Amino acid sequence: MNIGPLNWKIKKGDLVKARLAALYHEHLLGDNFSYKYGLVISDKIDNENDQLDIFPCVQVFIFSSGSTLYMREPELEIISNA
Amino acid sequence: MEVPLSYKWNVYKIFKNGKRAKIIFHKFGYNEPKTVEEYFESKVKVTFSKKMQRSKYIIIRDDLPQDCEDPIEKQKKIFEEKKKRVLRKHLKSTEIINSNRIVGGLIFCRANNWKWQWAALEVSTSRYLLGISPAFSSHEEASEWMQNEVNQL
Repeated sequence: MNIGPLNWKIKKGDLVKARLAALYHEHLLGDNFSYKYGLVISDKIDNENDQLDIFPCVQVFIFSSGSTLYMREPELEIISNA
Repeated sequence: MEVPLSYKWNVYKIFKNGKRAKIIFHKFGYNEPKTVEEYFESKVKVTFSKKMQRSKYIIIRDDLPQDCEDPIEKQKKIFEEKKKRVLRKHLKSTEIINSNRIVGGLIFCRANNWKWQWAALEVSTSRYLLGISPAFSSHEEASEWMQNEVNQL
């Protein structure tokens, strides 16, 4: 089955809102997800030959924690374009 | 004859968000530090209005430090102040002509070839004007540079 090209809009330098799994104390408050702001610091990582990277993703720097995460498009919302 | 120590106690209200009020809500005198909580609940709090009785309070002895700030938060604040001083110092040494106000900050953008760099930025647009530090490949390296600059102050 041939899946059509993904409409990928996220670019390096975009300010994004990232959806992350909620931490334990956030789960207790009834939230399944926590939302953090971040910055896209890589181009789309897409390697069709490597099944580990089958889903294209980008690296996102999270401001609040100072960590860098690999994230897919459905987990990101663009706040400001680069 | 031994004279019992007389302590004064300050009562601060605790808000719903968990933060403590800065202004003293009530003061009272009591000599026994071990049972002051019980004394407050049974004798002092009952004199408050019904609405105020529902609130939470913290009692701190008057002769002890009354700081409500978290020491880690305090350290962070001091570091932020020093960081601003470093940025101001570097901005003064550069000669940038711009009609808008300029501010210093860390930026990651196309203009500096997608590197992390402390730079002079245009206020309101955050447009990159001039780098005031070397360009770094990671955020950690940029933070380290700033830490070194702060230590040198």
